[in-house]
Amino acid sequence: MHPRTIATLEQLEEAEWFSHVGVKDTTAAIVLSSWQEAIEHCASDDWQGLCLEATNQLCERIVERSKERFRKWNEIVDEVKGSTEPFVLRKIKAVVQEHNLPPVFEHTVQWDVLHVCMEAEYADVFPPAYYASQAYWYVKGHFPCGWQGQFPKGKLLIY
Amino acid sequence: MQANHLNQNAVYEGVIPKNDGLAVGMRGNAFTEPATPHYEFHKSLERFWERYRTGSLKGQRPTNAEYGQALQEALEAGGLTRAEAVDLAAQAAKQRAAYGLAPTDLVPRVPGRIGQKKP
Repeated sequence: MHPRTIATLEQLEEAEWFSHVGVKDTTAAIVLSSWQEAIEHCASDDWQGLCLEATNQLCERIVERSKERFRKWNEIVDEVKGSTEPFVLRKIKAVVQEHNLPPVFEHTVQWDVLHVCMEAEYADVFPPAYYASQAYWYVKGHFPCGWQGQFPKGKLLIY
Repeated sequence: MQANHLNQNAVYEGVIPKNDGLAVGMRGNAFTEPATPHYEFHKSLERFWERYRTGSLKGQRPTNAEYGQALQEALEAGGLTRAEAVDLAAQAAKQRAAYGLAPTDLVPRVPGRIGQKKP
């Protein structure tokens, strides 16, 4: 992995994930009130479609700038997943057990963290954007999980 | 009967203009009419894509050649004969190549779920 990506994971490692869920400590996003609401939103086709679209946009920007680099996408995904998958499992273990969270929660966090790292891997080709902003909320102890309104208008939902 | 792009517009829209995309007519509504050819075609492709959305290949992208194979299987799932499906998939591959998409290149986009009504 690129040193940028390792540094990104170190920042995420230092943060206490989910320590501020439900705490209305921001006006930059709408803070949900329960895990149930958060799971409903993160499991929705709308949210998953939006995140997939963000990944598509990232890939398209990379292809435009460097086809050669984009050809390595899958290879890098494999390498990064080798680190992020056990890392995420460890970071979410307690909250999953405590609140009996469903598999879609792990899927959502795995997807987010993988792509935070992919943005870091390709940061010299295209600057990190969507997933870096997701990472911000994890570091703040929240869980980004939905969107209210018609993207890009509207507001992020976090728990 | 609905027109059906062989090189899915949601995958290739940035490269192959929608109006230039090769299409084949298929009976039925892809979203609401289970067991019709058009519905079964997309059901097959959705299975293919789901591996890259939430399955074992999560986060990865298929190559254009892998998409081509999935397209052929989807056409067969939609009721075409093996020979017809092979022929149409070959035409689709030729069109991708004409737009500079090599078989070993990764697809530019993984489409979102189309939300098919459950049978």
